[in-house]
Amino acid sequence: MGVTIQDTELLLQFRDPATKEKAFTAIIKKYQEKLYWHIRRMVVEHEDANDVLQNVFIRVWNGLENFREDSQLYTWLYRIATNECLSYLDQQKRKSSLPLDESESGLSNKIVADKYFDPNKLEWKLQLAIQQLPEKQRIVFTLRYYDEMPYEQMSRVLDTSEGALKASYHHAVKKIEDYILNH
Amino acid sequence: MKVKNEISEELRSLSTVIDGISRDTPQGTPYVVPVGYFNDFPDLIMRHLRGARLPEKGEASPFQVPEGYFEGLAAGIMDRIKKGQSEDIQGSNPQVAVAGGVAEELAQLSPLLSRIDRKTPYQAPEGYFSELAPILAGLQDKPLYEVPQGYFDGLAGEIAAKLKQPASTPMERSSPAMVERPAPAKVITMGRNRVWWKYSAAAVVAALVLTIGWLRLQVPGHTGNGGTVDIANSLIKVSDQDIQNYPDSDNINTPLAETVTNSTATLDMDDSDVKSLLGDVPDGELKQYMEEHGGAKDVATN
Repeated sequence: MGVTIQDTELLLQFRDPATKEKAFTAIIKKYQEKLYWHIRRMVVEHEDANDVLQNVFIRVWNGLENFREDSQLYTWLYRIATNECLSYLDQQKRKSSLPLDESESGLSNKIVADKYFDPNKLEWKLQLAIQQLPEKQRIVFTLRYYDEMPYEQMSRVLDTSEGALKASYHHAVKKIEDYILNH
Repeated sequence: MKVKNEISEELRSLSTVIDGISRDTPQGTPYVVPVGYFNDFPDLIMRHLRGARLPEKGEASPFQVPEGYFEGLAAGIMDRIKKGQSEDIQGSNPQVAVAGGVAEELAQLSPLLSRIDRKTPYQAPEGYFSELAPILAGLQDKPLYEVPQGYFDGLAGEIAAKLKQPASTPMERSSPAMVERPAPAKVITMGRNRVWWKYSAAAVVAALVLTIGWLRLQVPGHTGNGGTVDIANSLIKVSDQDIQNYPDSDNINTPLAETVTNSTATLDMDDSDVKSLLGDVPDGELKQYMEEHGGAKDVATN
């Protein structure tokens, strides 16, 4: 992610019809990887992550004109990506024949089915452990653990209090640790 | 950097097991991304936003196209557009579908239906859509409601005339815009009932005070004639020796007791003093007294 132009400058260029597409391309290049990995950790498969990521940037294209800049662009993008993930997973649950309480096993099966899956490696076990968490808790854990997002920023992404996020993260860590030690 | 250290410290304090898991892989996860994915992704999105240009018939293309792709493409795109419009109306988020994805799905569900041409059989009048846009554009300027002719011309004068009318009540004076005098409201006095309650409460309190005072006055030991008689009757039962010994007893710790001990009545008296004190008392009464209170010390009498 080598883009150095500040977000404010990108937004100004986006609002100018002459430079709109160029600015949007720069925004995509700046944030695509971060958003992709955030999505991928939630949906597991690359094809699903690709679908969701495209949805996210379509929404960004349609909504960036009205972005109020009361939060960072990064926070706003993460919020859209998180909501799209949750919507996508809800859709998958509805389409799936599995009962709702077994929907997490669908994502676990996808992990196990990955070409590079190695059950002996702790990194893969960690992915399986993460999928056991409830959706919101999964998001909190991945944002904190992988993206190293401060609670203050996370509260704006997820519209939840910092205290609740902290508690959620602590519970998630304990659950993951139990899973890794017992499996 | 500070935040990163804080997060690492936090994780270490919660779980050394998870903290020890290696995060050397890209973005910390073991997942793999297709080669060149991120390089091509921005172009993919921009092409989608601009609308992909379909290859012209006969145009040489180095790429392979799945069989029957173009036959179902137009229908697939129209379905996506209609689906996107209906989702916009319902307020839900539009979904991006790969071109022909709907056709593929239908083919999997029902090959028979997928073979039927999905062209709508209805016909629109010739030139309908080309004329529609100007009509719709013109509607934006047309006001929805009608206003009586000359309304705005006379409005300012009417308001000025109303403001100039003199106010007759304080309410109107404070609010000159008010023209109609409101009908006076019927006044219902509530004072009588309140006064009656006050007097009743005062009478009850007075009766209570008097009753309590009377009861306290009747209790023995209080000042008053009845109390004095009771005290005298009680004292008759007490012997002289006890009365004399009372000031010297250990139970007395009050200043009054000191006063009593220093009083004349408790001082030692000799016979001459007694004689002088009892000089006026007849002998008969003295004898009677001695008979009633037997055991008393012989007192010198006249």
